[in-house]
Amino acid sequence: MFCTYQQDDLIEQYGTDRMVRMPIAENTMVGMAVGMALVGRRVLVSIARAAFLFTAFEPLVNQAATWRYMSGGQYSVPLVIRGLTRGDEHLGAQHEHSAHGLLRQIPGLVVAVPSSPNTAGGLLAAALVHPDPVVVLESPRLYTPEWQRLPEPEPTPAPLPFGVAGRARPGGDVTLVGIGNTVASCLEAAGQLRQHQVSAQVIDLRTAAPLDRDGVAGMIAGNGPAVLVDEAARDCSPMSDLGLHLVQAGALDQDRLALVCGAPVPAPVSPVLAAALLPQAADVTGAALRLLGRPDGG
Amino acid sequence: MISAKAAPVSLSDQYLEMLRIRLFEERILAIADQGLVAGFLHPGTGQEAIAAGTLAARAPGEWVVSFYRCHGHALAAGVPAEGIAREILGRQGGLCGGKGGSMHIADRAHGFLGASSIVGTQLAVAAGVALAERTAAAGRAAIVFCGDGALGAGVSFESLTIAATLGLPLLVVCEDNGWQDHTPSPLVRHQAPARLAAGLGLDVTEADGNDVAAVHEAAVALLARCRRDRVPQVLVARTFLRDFHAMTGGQRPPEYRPEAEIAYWRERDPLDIAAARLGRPAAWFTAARERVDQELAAVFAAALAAPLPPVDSAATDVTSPGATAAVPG
Repeated sequence: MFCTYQQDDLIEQYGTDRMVRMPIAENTMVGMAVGMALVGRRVLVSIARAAFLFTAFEPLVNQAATWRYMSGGQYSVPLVIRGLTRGDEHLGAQHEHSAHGLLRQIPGLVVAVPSSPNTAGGLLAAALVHPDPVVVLESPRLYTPEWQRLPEPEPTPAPLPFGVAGRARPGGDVTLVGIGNTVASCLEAAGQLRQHQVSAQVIDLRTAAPLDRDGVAGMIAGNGPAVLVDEAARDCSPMSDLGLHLVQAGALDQDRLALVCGAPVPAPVSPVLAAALLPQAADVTGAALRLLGRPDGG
Repeated sequence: MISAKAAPVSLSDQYLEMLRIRLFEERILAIADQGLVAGFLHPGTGQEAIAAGTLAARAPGEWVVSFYRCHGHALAAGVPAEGIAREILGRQGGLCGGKGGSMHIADRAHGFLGASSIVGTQLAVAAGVALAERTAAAGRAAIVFCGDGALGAGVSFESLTIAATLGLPLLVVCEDNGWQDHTPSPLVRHQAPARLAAGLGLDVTEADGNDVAAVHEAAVALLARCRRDRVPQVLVARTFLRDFHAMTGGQRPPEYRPEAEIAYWRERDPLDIAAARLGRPAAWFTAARERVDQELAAVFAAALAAPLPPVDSAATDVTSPGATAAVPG
């Protein structure tokens, strides 16, 4: 494992050959990780934040994701990169990114976006035995002192397969689809909708890539309208792709679909400004009620 | 601890390797002139001594990492000419199924990790390989080639610094030909490569890159140091591209370098220097050239006659076979 910060317990457990402290040089960290993986090692890069992935974007895009293909299948790159996204930290535009929309455009790259502690455990466990590169994008909310109070739809941290969406909550009147932070927003909205006697199903995409288009279509068909919720802007959200598929696959009519996405704006430090740019539970609830023809919740 | 050891390679064998590289590259250039090579072609003509001399010091099992000017490195690493030729020409039997092409030759069976064609990035990859070797503790080094232009890239500084800090058994062979594509290197850097690397605190050795004996002697010593002491070594080998940086679309670039410089290096052809050292009768060289030429003629005839890759292979090898398994074990 490569990291740029102190990890004394891991050094004690694994030694400095396996727990390698690096300078703040994410570009070369990831390039070196590719080299190690190419010669058969399993490498985990703790890049700290998704933002620093952009420093390492070249080796991610041009080497990790291409070496297998360019070599005609001779090599593989069993590399896991994990980093924090955004959630109540107020670090501003250069440190806060919902990167899954951008990363899912890299062919072959698995982009895992855990929504809860057990999902994080399950996706990381799967990543560590996956033969190809995986980026695990972790919400800082998973690390707050109140992490145990986060909604936990998964019963255990058992390994989770990539490209398989999960049902975080059953419900028959409407479906709310989230990824990462928005799964909790959808669960909160489901609670609000219950006050309006609306039973909402919540789906957790779990991975932005592979995207479980058919699985979600199967869970949505015949289950009323759907609200697709993402902190990423619709310009690069998997929800845009998913929405098109749901309509084309006949799971939904186009007027039974709503997208609630983040604004295409860099993250401001001001908490009140940041909140205005991100989907909140009330936005999801409102969108669901409008789709159900009950805009006032009556 | 297993000690990696290279079987000594004679000067005549190193000469033959250089000759093979030269004739291979000339054939590729002739075919490229007909528009039969897709993409960029970076000929290694004029720099054969660095590939042959360095890799003659390579021990079994040592990985080699290269960049876009990789044909000579691959040949000298023992990668079959057939596989390289077919890959460059995009024919079946190419090492990479037509997906890598000239700039990305890779051959796992011969320890040729591949070529990363973004300038400098191969240093980071090779540093990672060297770290794997350091922890494997089998006495192996890793070898990476770069041009002098690579030392302008941030990734190179990071890689060299980390290699020095972690004590990586890495040999960086810098083919210093004084040019970065069409830019003369002194125009865009304030210190020569050897001074830059030494300024970072690395062990640097300079050698005449057109004298295969000098390159080889340096490589033997530096690789031994890497393996034994786990200290990265930088070998800056001064050389010159006989032809040009790159061509594409069947068009050779017009000459962009001063005639005086070209003339100077024409007198220092690495094949001539090695031949003078060998001191054999002319007939020996003639026979060698005929032999190698015949071998390559057969290689290229077969390559040009081979079919194109099947279209249904276009989307394969993006991910590994196990990647689509539903639930991990």
